[in-house]
Amino acid sequence: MSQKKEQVPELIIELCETGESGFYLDGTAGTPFAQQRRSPEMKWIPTQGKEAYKDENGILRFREIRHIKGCETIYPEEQDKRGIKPNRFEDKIPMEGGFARILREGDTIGTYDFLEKATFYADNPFRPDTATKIYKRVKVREQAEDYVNEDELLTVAKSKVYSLRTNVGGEKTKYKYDESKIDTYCRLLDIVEEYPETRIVALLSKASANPKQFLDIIVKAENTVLTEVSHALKLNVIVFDGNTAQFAEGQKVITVVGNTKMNNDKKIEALASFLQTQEGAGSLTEMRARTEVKQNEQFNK
Amino acid sequence: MAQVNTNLFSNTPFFCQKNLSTSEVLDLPFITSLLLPDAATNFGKCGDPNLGKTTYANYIHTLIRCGGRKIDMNWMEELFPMDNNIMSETKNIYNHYICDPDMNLYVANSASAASAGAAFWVTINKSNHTSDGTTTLAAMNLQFIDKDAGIWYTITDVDASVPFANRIELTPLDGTVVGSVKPNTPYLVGLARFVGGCQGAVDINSVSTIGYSQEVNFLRVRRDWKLCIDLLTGYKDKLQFMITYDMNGYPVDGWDVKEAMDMREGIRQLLNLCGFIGTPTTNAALISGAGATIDSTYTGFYGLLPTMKYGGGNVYDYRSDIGFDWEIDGEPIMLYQDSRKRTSKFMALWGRGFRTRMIDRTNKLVARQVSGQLNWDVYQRMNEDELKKLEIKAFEYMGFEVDGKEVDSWSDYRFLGSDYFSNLAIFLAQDGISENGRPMKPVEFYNQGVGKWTGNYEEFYIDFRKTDRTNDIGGWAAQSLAMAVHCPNQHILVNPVKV
Repeated sequence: MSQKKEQVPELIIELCETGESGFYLDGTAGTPFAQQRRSPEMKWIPTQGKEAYKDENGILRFREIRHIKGCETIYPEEQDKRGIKPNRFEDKIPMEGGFARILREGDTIGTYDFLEKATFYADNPFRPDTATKIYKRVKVREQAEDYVNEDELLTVAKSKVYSLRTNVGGEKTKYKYDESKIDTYCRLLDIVEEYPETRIVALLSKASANPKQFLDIIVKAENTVLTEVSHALKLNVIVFDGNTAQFAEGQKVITVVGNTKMNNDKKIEALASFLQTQEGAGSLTEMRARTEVKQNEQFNK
Repeated sequence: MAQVNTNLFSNTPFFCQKNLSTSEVLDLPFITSLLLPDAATNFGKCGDPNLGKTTYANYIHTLIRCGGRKIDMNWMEELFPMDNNIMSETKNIYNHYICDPDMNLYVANSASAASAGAAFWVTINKSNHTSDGTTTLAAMNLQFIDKDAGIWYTITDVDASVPFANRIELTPLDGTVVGSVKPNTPYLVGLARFVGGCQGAVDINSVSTIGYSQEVNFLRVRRDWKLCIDLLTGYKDKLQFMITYDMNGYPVDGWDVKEAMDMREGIRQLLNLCGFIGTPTTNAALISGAGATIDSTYTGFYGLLPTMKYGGGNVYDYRSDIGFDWEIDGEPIMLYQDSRKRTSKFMALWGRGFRTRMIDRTNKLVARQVSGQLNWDVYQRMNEDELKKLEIKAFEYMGFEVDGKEVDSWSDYRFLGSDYFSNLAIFLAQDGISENGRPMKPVEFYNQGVGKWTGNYEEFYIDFRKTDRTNDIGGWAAQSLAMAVHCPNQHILVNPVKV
C-alpha cells in the first residue's frame, strides 16, 4: 500500500526585473504562442546577503547570511564553527530563463532558507525598501485563478453576443436577430456595419478583444435604463396597458413591448431594450424629462 | 562698452581650414551669458534694461568655467562609432541570432518507476519545447541519458497533447534499474535510435527552431533653435567668430551661437542615451492621433542595457557594498561562458565605483601592455597617445583577456551617473560573434537611405530675414539611427545590488 508522501516546502521564484526585449523565438512573433525573451539567459543571485528579522523587543535588525551549497545553515558563524568553507563555483545560485524552483529538502535546505530570508526576496515581509528586489514568488494558485476568471469573463461576454440571435430552424431564415438590441450594442461600441450578421461578427471581436470593457459598457448601459424604467413606473410616469407602454399623462403610446402574455419584469426589460434603440431614443429622453419633473414635484410637496 | 578680451574670439572670421564635425563642435568652449537668446526673457526680466550691458562691462575673464570636467555624452558612439553605421535601404530591419543547439533536456517534475525495468512518464520542462509547444528534442525511440549516473532510457512513448507540457515515457535499458529522474538536472538525448537487423522506418523530426528575431526600428531625433538677431546687432562687437581647437589641438574657426551648440549637444546626448538605455515607443497615443510625437516607422529600438537584461544576456548580480571579487565573482562567470565555449576575450566597460571596489586578493589579474594588444575596433584606429586618453587598462586573468575602460559618464551625477551606474560593469565579447563565418561587432548602428539621401546627421542654418522677414536667425538638425546588439548571451552584465 502506498504511503502519502509528506509535502516538502517548495519555492518557485521568478525575477522581479523582466521586460520587453523584442526578441521572439523564430516563427512565433504575432502568433498566439508568441515567445518573447523577457529575462536574461542566466542570472546569478549573490551568495552573501542579509536577513532582516525582528528581535524579542520587536526591533528590526539585520544579520549577514551566506549560501554554501549543501550546507543546512546559512549563518556564517555557524558555518565556520562546523568548518564548512564557501566554494566559489558550487555556491552560486543560478536562475536560468528567469525562473527557479527550490525544494526544502536534502542539498537545497540552505538554498531554500537563504532565498526566503534574504532581503533580495520581494515577498520577504521584513525587507527594507532600500534593498534590491531580485526575485519574487510565482503565485501559481493566484495565476490559475486569474486565468479562470479571465476565461469566464470572455465566455460571458461572448454569450451576450450569441444571445442576440436565435436559431429558428427555418429553411430560408435560419436565425432570427434581435435587431433593436444589436443596434443598441453597436451604438454603444461605435460599430458601423450594415447587416446583422456582420454586426454580430464585429461585436464578437470587441467582446473577445477586451471582455471586461465590453461587459462594463453593455451591462452598465442596460442596467441604467432598466433602473430608469422601473423608477418611472414607480413614479407613475409610464404605465403598461396590457403590452402597451405609454406615458401616464396624456396617454401617449411609447411602444408595444410584445405580442404574448408577459409578466411585469419582462415588460420592463423589453421596454428598456426598446428605449436604447435609435427608434426609442426620443421616448427615452422624454421619459427622463418627465421623471425629473415628477421628482421635483414630489420634492416640493 | 568694455570689450571682451579673449584670444578665443575674433570679429574677423578665418575661413575654415577644416570642416567642423559634430564631435569637435561639442568640445567648443562657450560662454552662456554672452549670447543669451532673448533680452526680453533674460535681462529684461530683472526689470533693469541696462543689466545686460552692465554685466558685459564687468566681465574680466570670460572663459573661467565653474564646474568639473566636461560631461562625456559621447561615450556610446565613441566606443561603437555611430558615424560608421551600416546603410539600410529599408526602414524595417531584423536582428536575428541562432543559438547553439543544446542536446540536453530538463524535466518539469520528479518521477520514478514503480519497479525495476518498468516504464514511467515524466513531463518535459516548458522551455525545452519548440515555438508551437508540441515538439521537443525527445522523439520516439531516441535515447534519454542520465549522463552523470550513467543510466540510459529509451523513449518508448510521447504524448504531445498538452502544448508546452509534453510527456514522455521512459523505459530503462538495464532491466534491473528502477528509473528515476528529477528537475534541474540536464539529461542528454541520443539523437538516433537503436534498431535490430531488419528494421523499419520511423521518421524523426528534430527541433529546428532555435533562433530569435527582433524587429529593429529606426528613431529620428531633431532639435530646432531660433534667436532674435536684435541681441547680436545691438552688440555688434559681440558677434562671435569663435576660434576653436580640434581633437589634435589645431585651431578651427567658424562662428556659432550657443543655441546651435546646444542643439548639437542635445542630439548627441539623446542618441547616446538611446543606444545605452533606450526603449522603443509602443504607446499608441504617441504614435498616432492628436497627441502623436512620432510615427509608426520611427518607434526606436532597445538599447544595450535593456537588451542584455531582458533579451537573454548573462546578468551577474553582485553586492556593490562588498565589491566585485575577481576570484569569487569573476572566475565562475568566465568559466560559465567557457562551458558554452564562448569567448575568452572581453571588452569591459565599468564605472568608477566598480573600479575602486574591484578586489583581486590573489593577484591573478595581470596587467598587459596596451599598445598593439587591443582588439576592439575603435582602439585599432587610435595611436598610443589617444589610447592613453581613454585610460584603457588591459588585463589577463587566468587566460581570459580583459580590456577595461572606465566610462566617465556612469559616475557623472550631473548626467547619467548614479550609484547604480557607477557600480555597473559590462563585459562585452570581443570575438565569437560571426555572420556566415565573418567576425562582426557586438553592437552595430544602422541608418537608412539611398545615395546622398540618408538619415545621417544633417544640420541647417536659416536666416529668417530672407524668408519670413523677421529679424531672426535659427536652424535645426536631425539624425536617424537604429541599433542592434548581437547575441546578448555572449555578453555579461555585472549588476550591482544593495542588501
